[in-house]
Order: sequence, then structure tokens, then C-alpha cells
Amino acid sequence: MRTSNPFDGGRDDELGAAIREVFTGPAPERFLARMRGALAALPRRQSEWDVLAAWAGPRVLAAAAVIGFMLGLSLWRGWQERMVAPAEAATSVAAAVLEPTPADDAIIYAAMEGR
Amino acid sequence: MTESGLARAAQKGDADAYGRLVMTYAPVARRVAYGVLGNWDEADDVVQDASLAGWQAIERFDPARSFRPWFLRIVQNAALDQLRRRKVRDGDTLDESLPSRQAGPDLVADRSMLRERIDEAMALLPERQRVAVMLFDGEGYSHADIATVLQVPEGTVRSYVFHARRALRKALSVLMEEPAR
Repeated sequence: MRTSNPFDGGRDDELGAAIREVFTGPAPERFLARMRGALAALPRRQSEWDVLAAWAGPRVLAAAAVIGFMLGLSLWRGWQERMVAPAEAATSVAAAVLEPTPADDAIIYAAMEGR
Repeated sequence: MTESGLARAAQKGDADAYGRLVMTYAPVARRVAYGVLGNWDEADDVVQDASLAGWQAIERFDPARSFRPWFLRIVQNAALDQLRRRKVRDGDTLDESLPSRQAGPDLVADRSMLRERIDEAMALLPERQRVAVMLFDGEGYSHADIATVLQVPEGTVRSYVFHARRALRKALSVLMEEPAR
């Protein structure tokens, strides 16, 4: 050992060499070959936008579907209102003809006066 | 190409550049993982998983800094995660103040007595002390780099190295006092 003070800031080459020997694993070439293989087959890296898109995609689609439904419903109701409006006008004319009018009273009075 | 150049290329999606960076530090990454786990097979798995995790996270790496402590920190965290999973699986508790493993089955029979003593003493150290002394004395890393890897203050790294050395020297002093066999 280089020094007897274990709190020494310098390195202990002898201890270091012994540690390196202990920490030399079996079959280092096989490990490195395995690592090369794994690194050669790295998947495409997801960018932050990819992650965001993956998270937001279904939600954006759902929101678009809701907006589309609401827009379609609004258009359909507008179209319905346009189609219904002339019918209401016709109903009004018919109702006006059928409703009792002052002319009816005049006819009654005239008929009564003729007696 | 420099390390920062390789890192920048990797950030742009160059898998080959990333592979070159990782291969440079794969041996020490393996030793760090083994330092935590005490098992070479698990260490190899962890380094491979950490390499993949690093690839996915490379955009967050600052190329102005050294790749080595950044990558080793990922390896260290992956190894600690694996250790936690193992301890949960085995019904053990994670207590970093206690020795993490027992020397024994993994020891190679024909190694030198010095190596055997060191290995036994290292095996009885807590994971972080073992990694700290391995990186400091074994790999020549600075306290600052080790602090980055272990995510602790530099003073704590010095304390880890101090305690680990004391334990190792104690083990070796017994060897010195023993008569030659």
C-alpha cells in the first residue's frame, strides 16, 4: 500500500491494481461482442415530439371527432330549421284563414239583420 | 471525432456515434454494475439495458460535459434498480449501510491470495463504497466524477473511499500478518 492514511486524497496504485484484477469479469470479449450486437440493433430513438405525439395522438383524434360531430349536428339543425320555416309559414296562412275573423261577425250580423 | 462531436452526432440520431461512445466505457460500466450487483451475468444485462436507456435519453445530455460520468450514472441507477428488484423478489430489505452480498460462490478457486482477500473485503462493502473505491483507485476517476455517478456530494465520496480503503487495508493487513502457506 502506498500510504497508511486511508483518508489520503492521492491514489493507491497497488490497491488500484488489485481492485482492477478483482473487477475483471469473465469473458470480456464475449461481453463486448454482446454490447456491439445490442448497439448495432438500436431502435429508432423517440424524440420528445414523438413522445408528445404518442401521448396526444388519441386525444387529438377524439377531440377532432367531437368537434366534427358538433359541427355536423349544428349544420343538420341549421338545415332542418331552413326546411321547417316555409312549412310554418304555410301553417300560419292556413291558420289565419281558419281562424275566426271580424268578417265572420259581420256576416252573422248581416244575416241577422236580414231577418 | 471528439467525444463531444460523437455525442452531438448521437443526439442527431447517429446510432453508430452513440455506439462508439458506449463501447469506450463499456468495460468500466460493467465493473460499476458488478460493483453494485456482485454478479457478472446481472451486470452484463444491466449495462446492455442502460445503453438502451442512454440512447433514448441522449438528447438530454449536455455535450459540453463528459459522457463518461453521465453514462455511468445511468448504469449505476440501472444496477441499483436491479438490486432493489432482486431484494424485493428475495424478500430482503435494501439497507445501504449493511454489506450487500457475501463472498463465496463467485470466487474463482485459483486466484492469488491477494486478489481473494481484496475480493472478499470488497464483497463485504456497501455498494456505494465499493463503487467509489473501485472508480477512484481502480479507474483513476476524480472525486467530482464519482460524485456525479453516485449522485452524492464530493465529501460523501471521500468518506466512501476512506471507509472502503480502511476495510480493504484491514483485510490485507491480516494477510500480511499470516505466515506464508
